Amino acid sequence: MVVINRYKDIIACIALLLLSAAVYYNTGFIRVFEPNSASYINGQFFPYLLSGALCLAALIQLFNSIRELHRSPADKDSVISRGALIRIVATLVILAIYTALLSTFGFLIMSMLYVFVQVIVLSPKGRLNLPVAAVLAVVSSGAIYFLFTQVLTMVLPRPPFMPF
Amino acid sequence: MKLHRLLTFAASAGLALALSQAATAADYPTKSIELICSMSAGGDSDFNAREIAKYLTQELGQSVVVTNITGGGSAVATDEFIHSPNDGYRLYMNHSSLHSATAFGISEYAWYDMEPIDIFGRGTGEVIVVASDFPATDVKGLIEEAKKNPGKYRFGYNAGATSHYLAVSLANEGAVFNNVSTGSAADRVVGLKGGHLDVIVAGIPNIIDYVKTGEFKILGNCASMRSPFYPDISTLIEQGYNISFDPTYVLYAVKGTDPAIIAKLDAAVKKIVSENKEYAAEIEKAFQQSPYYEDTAKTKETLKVQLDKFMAVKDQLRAGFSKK
Amino acid sequence: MFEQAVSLLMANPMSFFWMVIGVVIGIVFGAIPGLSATMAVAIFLPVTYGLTPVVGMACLLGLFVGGISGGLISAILLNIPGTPSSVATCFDGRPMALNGQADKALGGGIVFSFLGTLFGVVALIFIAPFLASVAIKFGPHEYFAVTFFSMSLIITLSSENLCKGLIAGLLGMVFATVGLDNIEASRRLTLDINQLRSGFNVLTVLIGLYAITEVLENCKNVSDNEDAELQDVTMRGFGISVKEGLAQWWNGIRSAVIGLVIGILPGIGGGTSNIVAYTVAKNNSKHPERFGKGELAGVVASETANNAGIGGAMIPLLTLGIPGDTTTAVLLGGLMIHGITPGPLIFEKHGDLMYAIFVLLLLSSFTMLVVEFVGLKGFIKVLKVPKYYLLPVIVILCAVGAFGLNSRIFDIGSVLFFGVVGYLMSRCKYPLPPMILGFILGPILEVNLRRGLTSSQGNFLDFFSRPISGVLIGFTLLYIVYSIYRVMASRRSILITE
Repeated sequence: MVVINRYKDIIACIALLLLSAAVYYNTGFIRVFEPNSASYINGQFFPYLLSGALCLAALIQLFNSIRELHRSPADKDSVISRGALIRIVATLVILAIYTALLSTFGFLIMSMLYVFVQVIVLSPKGRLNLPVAAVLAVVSSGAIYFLFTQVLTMVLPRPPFMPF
Repeated sequence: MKLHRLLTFAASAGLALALSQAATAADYPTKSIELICSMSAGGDSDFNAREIAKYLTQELGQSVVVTNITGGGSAVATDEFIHSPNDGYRLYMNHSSLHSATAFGISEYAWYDMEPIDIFGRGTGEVIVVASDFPATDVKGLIEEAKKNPGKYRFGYNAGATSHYLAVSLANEGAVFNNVSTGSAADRVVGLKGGHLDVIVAGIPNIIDYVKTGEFKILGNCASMRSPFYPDISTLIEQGYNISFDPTYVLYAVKGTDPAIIAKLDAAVKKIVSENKEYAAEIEKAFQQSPYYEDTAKTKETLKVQLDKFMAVKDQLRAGFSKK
Repeated sequence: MFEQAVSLLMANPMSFFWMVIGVVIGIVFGAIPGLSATMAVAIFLPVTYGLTPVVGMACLLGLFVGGISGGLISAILLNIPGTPSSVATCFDGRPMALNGQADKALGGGIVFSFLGTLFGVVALIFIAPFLASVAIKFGPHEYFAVTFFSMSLIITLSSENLCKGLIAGLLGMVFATVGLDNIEASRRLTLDINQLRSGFNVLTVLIGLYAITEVLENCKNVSDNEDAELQDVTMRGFGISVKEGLAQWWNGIRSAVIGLVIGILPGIGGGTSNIVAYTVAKNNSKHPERFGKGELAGVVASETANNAGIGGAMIPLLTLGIPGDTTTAVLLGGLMIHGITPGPLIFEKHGDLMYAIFVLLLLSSFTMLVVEFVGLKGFIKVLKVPKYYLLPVIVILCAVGAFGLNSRIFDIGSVLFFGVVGYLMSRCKYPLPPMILGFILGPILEVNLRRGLTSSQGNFLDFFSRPISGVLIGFTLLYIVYSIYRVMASRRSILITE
């Protein structure tokens, strides 16, 4: 199965327009002091300018994209296979879980789990090797953890129950 | 049956955890301790943090490791620290920037949201510096000049920091400066040397060489007492102005930490500061500082006084400098 | 002078040992994405407390030189810049590796890293006081002008698609705005999230945009059954022939000057100079369309500039006692704890140590050259490790690097966020380099505009009446017109030839 997204450029432009609106809106909350001299070049000036420029540029790009849509056919790059999509989503999920649980379980444990699962996700179908993945996960995470915390005396996330 | 086993397991796990907590208070510390420093690596605060960490490691038998968390005038570090577990394995050091962040509103916390252990040191202090051809020789002259020429002299300050507090205090005395935001101490020194600024606040070690070559001159010391290494520089208080901020290094624990742990840490620090000759020699060599200590009770009083001073001008700090 | 330096070094023979250790570890830190020269120097600073000043400095300088140079290794081999100073090395380094020319890219990068360092150090030794006196004259107006010029280079960087490039640059500036305002310390775009108060760090943006995106791109490649391993690459001699090296002489000198000048200005450093040098090289080349597809000149420009910045950053540090960037700020600390205060009197008080520092910098450059060439065959082997084993380990190293910035898990989350942003951008064919340039330069531009205006009491004309800033701004405006013309012309000629 194959997923083609010819409209992604248009969607991107619309997202940018929404972003510029969000920036504009949020700029209103910036607390402004009465500065010494120029009264309008304050903390809000630049963000307003950026949101305006971004809006303008996004509109121009939107116009260009619509024109391109009619002109050229979909290229190979806009094709994403189902397998790739699953891998991408899986990667994002495990990265998010890794970050979220880092403080609860600490760097050592989470890194081992992460490397193991990520290797599985990235391995091509014929080359999945679970023992190698497990060994790599344990050795690399352990080595990095000990190198940085014991030798270089850096602090990495450590759960309360960890003895070192 | 399964539920029963689960409950028993949970109960015994909970008991084990509770017992381990009780155990830690008596034989603290059993693993390495993290000391958070709110200033970046290489500065005098960071150096003092590492010095005290080094000797605490010897005293306590477990390594004390310094971590730097910078940003937001120390507000970022405070934020990270406040929510840490109160088992005594995470400590924090800060100085007057904690109060200015509170008064200015960058940080929603203050010193009383943490547990002060003691004051273990004192920075060299900041001084008011001008170019040597500036038409004044002391702070009185400075204020007079600023009154006569309102907005002419550019004062370099950093929003939310002690230099901001000084700018506001001088404004309260009637001086009218053109207050230009200038960033860190190094930027201010460059600004003064390059002629982009006329008055700055800077740490003594940063500018003492320029005084010796005759490029700069010092108008007054912002600390509450004179530096033992630079006794000729009079303080603003001596010159008649009730303006001062002291760079005292305070050690904090998380609120709710066992008082036994706090007492243990306090005793260790006191021993180092009062008795360790090596420590004294090292801080003198690096930043011309001498050992200074205040115990837990006195520290709390000092902190209260310091914060009140900043809070007194809180509204002016938050209002910015009005248009002229 | 030099005799005193040599005798000081001979009296402390451990300096040589620590210098070599520093260079090697520095290269490792620089090469691994997520770890940087700044981190290496900060970690080793306490180690130097127990050493004598000259030995301590030997270690720190070695780390500095190695760290800045090491970034090219991962930039070329993995398309992930090891440090912010090697971003532009990816642009052509990676395509060269894919074309089977990894050895030429690496060899050329290493040789010109070395030459760039030498250039900067020689400038430091001979004309430091003069350069410092000029740099001092740079106030907010001048900084604004320099930054304005650098930002105009975005136009050249986005010659593929001007509009998308500008959008990328604006996005970078928007993200840089998040945090506390530099001037008034008010919260900007922080959405009431306390962690956002500190804003995003350039390193998290870099790691996210390049490393995480690379992982996500690999997901796609794996499933498309493309070969995840690169073809075997052999190392031919130094990788780069003498003829090819000499052909780059003008590029090298020009890039070194750019790197030196930008390095001297405190606040702007290697992160900017490599992109600026690359873009200038592209603009002035007879074949700009080759840039981005594997042109040696691109790698040379980027690496010469960032290494020349080492000598540049040392100039204000030693002559004025003012650190040029975060790494030199740590070096400053390293000097001060030994009772040495850099400033106008340092050559009188500690002349022998200063000259020893010069010698150490020169020796570090040579050491770096030797170590990198010796290790070159090993580096290339990295290309043979399957990506599905290599990338996850790199990710956890990036997590260490991100966490090491400020000891916050939030920064690791930022990396993830920018990874998603970077992936979406590259899917929609938005160029990444303008975003980085916008992110780094946007705040500098804004802060100096406002400070300059405050300083001049609101008088805009001051920007034009002051000689340095006036000339630079005028030149930039002309440059913008010229660049746009060039971009349009090359686009038209491509259309004509099709």
